[in-house]
Amino acid sequence: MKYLGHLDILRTFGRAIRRSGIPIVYSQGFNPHPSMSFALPLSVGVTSEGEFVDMDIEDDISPSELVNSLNEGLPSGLRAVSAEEVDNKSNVMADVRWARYIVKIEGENLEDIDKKVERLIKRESIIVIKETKSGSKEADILHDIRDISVLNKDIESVEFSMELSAGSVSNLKPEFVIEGLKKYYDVKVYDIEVHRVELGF
Amino acid sequence: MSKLISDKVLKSVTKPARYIGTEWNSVHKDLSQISVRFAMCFPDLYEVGMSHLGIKILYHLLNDRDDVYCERVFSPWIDMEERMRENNIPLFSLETDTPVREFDILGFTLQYEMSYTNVINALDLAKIPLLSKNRTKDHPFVCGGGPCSYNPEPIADFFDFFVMGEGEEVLIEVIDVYKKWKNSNKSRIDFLKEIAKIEGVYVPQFYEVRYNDDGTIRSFEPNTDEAPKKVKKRIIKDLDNAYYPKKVIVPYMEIVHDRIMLEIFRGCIRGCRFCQAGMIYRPVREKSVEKLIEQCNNLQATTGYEEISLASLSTSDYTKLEDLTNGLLDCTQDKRVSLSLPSLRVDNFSLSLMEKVQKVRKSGLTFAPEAGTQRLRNVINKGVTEDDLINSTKIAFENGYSNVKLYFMMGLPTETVEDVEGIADLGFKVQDTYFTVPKNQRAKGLNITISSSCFVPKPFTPFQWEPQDSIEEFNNKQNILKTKIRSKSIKYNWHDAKLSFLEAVFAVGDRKLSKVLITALSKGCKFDGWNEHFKYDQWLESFEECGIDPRFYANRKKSFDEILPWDFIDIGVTKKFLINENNNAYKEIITPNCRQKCSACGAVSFKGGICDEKNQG
Repeated sequence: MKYLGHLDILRTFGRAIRRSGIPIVYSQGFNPHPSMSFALPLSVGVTSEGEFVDMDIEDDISPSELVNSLNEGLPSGLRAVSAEEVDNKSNVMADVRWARYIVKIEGENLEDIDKKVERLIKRESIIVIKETKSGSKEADILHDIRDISVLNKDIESVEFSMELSAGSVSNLKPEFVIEGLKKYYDVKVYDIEVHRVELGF
Repeated sequence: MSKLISDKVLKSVTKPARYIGTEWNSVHKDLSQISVRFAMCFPDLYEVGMSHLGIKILYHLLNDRDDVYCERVFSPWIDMEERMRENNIPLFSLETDTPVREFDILGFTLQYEMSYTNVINALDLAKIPLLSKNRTKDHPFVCGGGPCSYNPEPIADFFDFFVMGEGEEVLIEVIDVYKKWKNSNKSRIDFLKEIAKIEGVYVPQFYEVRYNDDGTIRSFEPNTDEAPKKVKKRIIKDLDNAYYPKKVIVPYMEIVHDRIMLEIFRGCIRGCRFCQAGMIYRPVREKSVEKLIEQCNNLQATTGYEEISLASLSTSDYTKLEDLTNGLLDCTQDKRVSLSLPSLRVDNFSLSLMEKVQKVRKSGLTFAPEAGTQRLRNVINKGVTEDDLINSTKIAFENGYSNVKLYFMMGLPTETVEDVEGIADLGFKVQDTYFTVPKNQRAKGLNITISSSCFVPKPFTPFQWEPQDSIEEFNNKQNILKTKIRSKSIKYNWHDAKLSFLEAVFAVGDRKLSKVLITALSKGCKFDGWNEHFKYDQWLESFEECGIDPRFYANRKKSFDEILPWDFIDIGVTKKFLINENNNAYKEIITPNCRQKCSACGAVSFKGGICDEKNQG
């Protein structure tokens, strides 16, 4: 499931909703699609236990009915946890502010990783290269790291908890924090695994 | 998820969703209850194979049997294949990651000649001996089906058996024989002898081919009692009562044709002389409107798909099309499911039909005149007139359509420069038609696309004896059009003549070509249909190294008395009819369609569908 891209997830949800008969509102126009929006897309390869979706529902349906209907139609690997009625002005996509991740890396030069992390966030700036449509550019990600700590470690691997800016105003992916460690503290990384735990609004 | 393929590998390849399976409606069974494991392989990428209707039907047909488990196999993309070879991971099935080598039967659907290298590459990746004669009881039986099995000879050496025709019944018969054989202690040959008795099954090793000095076939004879002299294709007579899946797999990732396909009829009444499908799927058999609406409802409910498409060779020839579309619109509209109708003919183009179906968006219209002049259209028996085209496009433009695609074929028998230029002329006439519609009525921004493919002679068509133009001739003709078509509103696309040349070689080739395929694969030829991977020079080298002149197959005009590699197959339509049609072509005589008048093609020997209607009427 984690290998699906965001568009794949949208498609999958759309079809599950159609199958389940959930009375969702459809957009107007040529290709009507279910009116729903996800708070924050999840990159390919990343797992999550804390995603949020806004859905426009036409008829009366209780939140628990909605959750059950969805889960009947969703393939294994995707599960609705809970639902609540919100007013029309709710917009998870606009309101999301941060995300917390568990990041596990395998690599070398991981001794003193706690100290390296401490020094990283005490820096004046953390410059990494971001690829954009118009080419690569440098970005300072220091202020997008709200919190970072080491949860577990051994000689070849480390597990971090990271709370990073998320959303339309500012968004930082965990990989860039790792890039910072690689760049400034000569950490070598062979594998990264990212799991999103929760979103903050 | 994948036990064979690690996360590390999946993260390092493009579109990893190709390899994960677990899609909605994919089948998962308790292996301890299974007697026969069938691996169904479409020898191309996931997104191509999952768009194929035939696989959907056969996959669910086989899986509806409690004792059979059918799993899917697709060709891994180049990057994944590299990882697999590096890590010694053999080709595996999507549902359970089982190495394909461990299955009882491995079936390939053969849709396109240039997929042959992918087929043998799959065998190689699966670590199954390429040649049928080298396989033992440790290996699955390798079988093939689909349109290319109507000339299986170039790949005959790689297959244990082929199934000719529609597989819904014959595949089950083969599996029943297999089950019995598996429990016995008999040899591989015993199994093959047993199934050779089933109508529609062709076992290549039970036939000897002898050649004349000039390279043509001298004889093609069975060498085993159980093998029939002629193999007769199988068809499903009553489509209403034939198997059709109630649910189909819903992929996660975007695939080429991502919608419910509702097959409305098989066969085609038109008899265009270049068209193989129109001949091999005769007689025409339709499904009833009631049945189709029932199938539509089932598929919608079990998949949640946003779009339904009607599948057939010529949708506008379905006798009750209006009733059908009305009935389908009733059950799709309120569920926000859209209906699409491809394969419409320009000579019975119905605006009201288009309006019903493309409610708001005026997307493009596609027409296939195939030839640029009436003379050549008569030669190929495509009874479409210039008036038909102009009238249809006029109606379309008057009603807000501004994107038109026109498909043509180049290199058709008797083609002259005038015919080629006629393609451009037709494009200009369509352009002029647009401008005759008042500015306030027509949509802005005219886009005409003219697309020319290269004629490939195909088995079981009246043109099967015809030579293909040389690559140079194709290039010259394409240049004529490139020069002539200079207009803001008209775009010209052309197909690669080198690829079409190879298509022709393998379409009408014989068994001598198998070594060329092995050589080409060893030089890295695969995914040949993919532009960036087509290695034409390596193909030419392969032919040379094997001492074979490909032009012998593609560019030579064959004589009517020659034994053709596919003559041993009985498709109903007779050689006599094809020869007659070839003569008619050269005389520019049109043959009416099956509904207008029966031309006694021979398909009546199956006693089904339209042939029955005509006999009763």
